[in-house]
Amino acid sequence: MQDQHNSRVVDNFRRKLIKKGLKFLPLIGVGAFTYPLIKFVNFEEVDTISFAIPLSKIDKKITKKNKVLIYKNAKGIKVYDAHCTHMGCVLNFDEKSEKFLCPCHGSEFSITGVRLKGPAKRDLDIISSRIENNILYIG
Amino acid sequence: MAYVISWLSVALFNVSMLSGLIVAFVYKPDIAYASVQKLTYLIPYGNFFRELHYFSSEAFLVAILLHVILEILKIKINIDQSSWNYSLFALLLLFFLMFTGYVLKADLSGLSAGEVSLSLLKQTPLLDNFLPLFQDNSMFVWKFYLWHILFLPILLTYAVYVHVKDLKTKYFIVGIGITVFCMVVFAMPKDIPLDTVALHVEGPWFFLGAENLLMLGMSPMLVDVVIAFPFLLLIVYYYFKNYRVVINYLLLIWAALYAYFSFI
Repeated sequence: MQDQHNSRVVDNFRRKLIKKGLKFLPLIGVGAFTYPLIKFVNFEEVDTISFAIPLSKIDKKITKKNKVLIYKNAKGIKVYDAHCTHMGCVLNFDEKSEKFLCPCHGSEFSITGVRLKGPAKRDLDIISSRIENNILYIG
Repeated sequence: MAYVISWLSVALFNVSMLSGLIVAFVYKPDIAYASVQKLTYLIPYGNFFRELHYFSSEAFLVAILLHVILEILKIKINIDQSSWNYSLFALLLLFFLMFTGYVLKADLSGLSAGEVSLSLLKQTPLLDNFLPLFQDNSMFVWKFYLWHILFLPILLTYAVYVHVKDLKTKYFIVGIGITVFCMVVFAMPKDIPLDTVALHVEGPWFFLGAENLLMLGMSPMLVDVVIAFPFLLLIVYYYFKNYRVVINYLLLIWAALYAYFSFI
């Protein structure tokens, strides 16, 4: 008699546990679906800029091409990412003041890529480049 | 009044969807800006359909905001919880749809708004996991395009249908009438060519408050919280009916502050 009662109590407990567990099943399903989905969509390499430009086409102090800024001076060439380090808007070059200006939130950077005014908190990102046979390879 | 606004919203929704289908025939995401210019200046009645899409969507958003205000000011909320949740989902989708549409015009302001939204995601813990759903390195507008023409309209149509149960197509002509009236009275913002050295570019009007907060140096994560705040309040609204007055005041304060930051 006591054994029967005990097994019924265990059965009820098991049923309740399974019932509660089943409530979380959709969450597990969503989780199991979301993770592979994000991995699937994220198959691309992020932020790779790679292209070449003949030196003869870099005739100004600042050349803007494919969202990079090419700064040419007597010492050589430096390439910056043209995206503002605050929220990623593409910067303009103001020839008068020789500054890079963000049209979205007003950050300013010097021609050497140094941050002059916020809200951006850091200098412009430098992109690696090399010159071979009078061609500038960027990225 | 509340009833008129609700069926008017559905009428404008129908016009927006149909005009969107029409302009989608011309829009090409690989030459996004060029295709928008072709639609506007070359194709016969292209600008008419573009403006029809633009103004019906803007009017739909305004009507929905009015609808939400009128509903929360009512003495008794007379919809069930499921319908309330679907309507909130629809509201969220609508903002999302409007924003992706703004990016798709692919001029300087559209692309900048896209860059800012991606940065907001990138700089917010947890949300940064969703970045790949919007960012595409080879074609900037591609994933915004997919959301705008496929996923969001399907989801929004479903949510609106569940909420209203009837898409009220008989009022379609009224929707067109209001949209044409807006086309005559208001001017659509001019596109800013990509090679322009613009001194200032800004996002859609409902995003201006967030843009200005970013300009004032607020951290992107806090800006996300500011944007999400009214949605969070509306989510708990149904469960805390006894505190409706308090929540209404919180919403009012939020709206006043957001409007203030939008205009500074």
